[in-house]
Amino acid sequence: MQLKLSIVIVVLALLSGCTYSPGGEHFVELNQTGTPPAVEVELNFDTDTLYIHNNEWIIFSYKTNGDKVNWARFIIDGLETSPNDEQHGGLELFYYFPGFEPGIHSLSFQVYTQSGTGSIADKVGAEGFLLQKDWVLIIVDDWEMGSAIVDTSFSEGFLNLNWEEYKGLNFEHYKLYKYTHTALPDQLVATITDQHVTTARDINYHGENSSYYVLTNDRFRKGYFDIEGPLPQISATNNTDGDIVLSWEIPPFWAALKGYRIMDDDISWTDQGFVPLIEINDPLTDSCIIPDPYFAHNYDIWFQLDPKGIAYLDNWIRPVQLATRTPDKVSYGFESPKSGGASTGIGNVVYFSNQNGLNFFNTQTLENIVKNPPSPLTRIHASSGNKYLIGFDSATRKLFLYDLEHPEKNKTLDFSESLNYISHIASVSDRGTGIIISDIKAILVDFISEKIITEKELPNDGLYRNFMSGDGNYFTLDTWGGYSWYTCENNVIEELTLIRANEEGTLFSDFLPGDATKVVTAAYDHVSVYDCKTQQLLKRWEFTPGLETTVYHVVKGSGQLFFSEGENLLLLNLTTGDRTLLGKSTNNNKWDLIYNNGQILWSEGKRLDVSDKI
Amino acid sequence: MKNLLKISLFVCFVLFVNISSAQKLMLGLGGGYATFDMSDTRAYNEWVQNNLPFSPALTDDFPGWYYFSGEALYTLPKTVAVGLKMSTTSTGSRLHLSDYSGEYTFDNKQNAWFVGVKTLLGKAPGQKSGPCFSMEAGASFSSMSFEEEIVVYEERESDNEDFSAIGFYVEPGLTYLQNIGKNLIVSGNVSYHMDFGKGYHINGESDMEIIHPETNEKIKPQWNGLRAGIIIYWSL
Repeated sequence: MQLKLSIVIVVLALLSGCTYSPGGEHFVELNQTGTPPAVEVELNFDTDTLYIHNNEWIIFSYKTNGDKVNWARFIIDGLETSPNDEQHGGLELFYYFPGFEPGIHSLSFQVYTQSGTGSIADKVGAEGFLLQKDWVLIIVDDWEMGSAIVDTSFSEGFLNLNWEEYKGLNFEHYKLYKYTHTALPDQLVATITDQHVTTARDINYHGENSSYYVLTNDRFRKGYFDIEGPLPQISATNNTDGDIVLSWEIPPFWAALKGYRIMDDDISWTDQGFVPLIEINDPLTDSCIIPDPYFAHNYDIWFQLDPKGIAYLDNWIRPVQLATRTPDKVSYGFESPKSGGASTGIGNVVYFSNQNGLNFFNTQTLENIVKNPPSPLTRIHASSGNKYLIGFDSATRKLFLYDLEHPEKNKTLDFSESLNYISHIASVSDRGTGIIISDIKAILVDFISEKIITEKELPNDGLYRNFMSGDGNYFTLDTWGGYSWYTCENNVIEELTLIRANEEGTLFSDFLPGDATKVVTAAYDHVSVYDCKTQQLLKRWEFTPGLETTVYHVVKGSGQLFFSEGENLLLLNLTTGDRTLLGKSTNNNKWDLIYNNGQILWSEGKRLDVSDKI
Repeated sequence: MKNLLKISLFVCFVLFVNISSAQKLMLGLGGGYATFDMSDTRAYNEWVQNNLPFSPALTDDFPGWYYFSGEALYTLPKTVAVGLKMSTTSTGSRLHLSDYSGEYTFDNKQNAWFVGVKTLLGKAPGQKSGPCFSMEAGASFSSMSFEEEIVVYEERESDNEDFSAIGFYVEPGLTYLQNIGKNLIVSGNVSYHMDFGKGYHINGESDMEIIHPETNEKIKPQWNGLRAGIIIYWSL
């Protein structure tokens, strides 16, 4: 029985040993080196240092080929962050930074890719390449997130502004604003949507005082950048024709300009404010000549920029910012010796005094001879026949007599004991006699013998101007009460009352050269010639009604009256009444113009040649 | 089931016809070679292959294998021999891949025991040499195991899962009996095995059947195939 049981056990064991066992191997020979897969990682930042505002959500994200990447993660300050939201083979990290102290932190991004060998380990993620990128996180505040304007430049006639590139994430746009003092609100100059474009052009900058700033993402701003000008400096000179030549440098922002306006600040003489002179409609023009200039006028040139776009000025006539002026005033004509008081002579000589002495300026040769009396003279008067010249010595308060034919006889006259006050003015005849006006006295003096002949009380104070006739028998007097005429023939001073009665409102009076008995009077509306002996009116000419008239002097030798009517400078022939137009001048009262031999002289050192007009 | 019923009725008829004849007992041991269908598990292997991150090769695919049997037949005098038979066989498959970094193996092993009634129908089977028709029918007890192992560098992981299934089978065939001594008989037989039954389920949990993840079809043991073998009988 045991034998049978043993046989059964053996049989069963054999059967069990014959159970099928599967087999076979499939070995694959592979290159173990592997190559990193071409993983395309797209991050929303591309700098090594990330500036993040301390009060915002930041989205880090990347997209890559999920077939080649096993996993990816962000690590901030050594800690893996979460949550990570996988979308379309990518990863997005939303992170809120308020808990971070301003300062420096770290950010790492790791991608674990497949090895690319195709091995089992590669396929199950046990073999691969760990790619890591590190950044420095700098948590900053509003100010640091802003972009400051760092410099400016000009190109193609426009202003360019350059600013710092935005350092943060999630860039949306830059907006360049301009603030000016005369325009509100702030003006949007440009909107830039490319973070790397950090320059913009302001086509409306014309040199005005402006403050620029960049506003990033409508939120971050970092200060202002102030700019003004450069405004061109204008200079004025006289060319060889005596014209006023203006020149300036073309401003670097010329393309923003239509051109220029050149004005004269005319407040000083007509109270018109700025008078337009020229309008130039080419911004590349750099010089011009003032057309139809006025003689004996100090031009106070203002150079105004004429904007092409919006001009933030109240109006163009009142330049607030966009104007410059010449450093010095300039006037039309040629240079001549600067004069103080002046008196014309018979021939080509004009006498005038200045700090250098007594000047004898020859209007034909343009030669100037300076003679030095004891001290500078003021209020000089030359006799009709150019025998003597009397002047007031301002230093000694004495009179100085100049013998024009015998200079060795020049002398200082001291009448101070007879004068109550400072002597105002004196005039001299060809005989050497003269009149001194002091306070309300008219004193007839023999300058040669230095003796007072007679005196007369005057009804009013005398003013500066009095003229003695060449023969010494008559004189005119300008007082506060008006003009009056006197005879001092026979050493007795008597007023010629008939003339005064007929000549109310006289502006000027002097004697005809060559005929000392004939006196010329000029009022605002007419010119008259009287015979002093008979006090009868000999001739009369009317001035143009409505035009302001200024009479300068009687031209010795030619018997003409030099005067201005409106803006015209004229000669009036006192024999025929003919008028000769010499040129234009300002229509204010220029009392010190002198005409001689085709030349008009102005006390401020200018000469106008009008010889072609006569 | 209808076929099984028909076969049972036929066996009862034969026994009734031969009940009064002389009887003889035959004890036999045998073995042979069997082929298998296993299309369900082949499909499952294919799914495994396609769903791995790497691509193992199918190095063994349910080949034909030996079977072994033992039986006791009671011969009736004229045309019938009937008795009990028990047999067993096995097969399997392997998915495999290895490279410098590691190795992956997925073995599928299947084994079955068949217990049933066998009938020979011929001219005095067991008493005279000659051909017979044979018919087997009974129950099958199948087992299947998944043995999965992956080695990556120094890391090794393995997983085993065992399944079982119960079914029915019929196996018609032809047998030639040859008396070679006083009490020894040798038979050569060829038959075709047909399986019927449920799918595999996890051992001990009959409601946890394994299904194909894509087709949702149950995975059944499919021992269907040819059987060819020899049996040596000892006649008592």
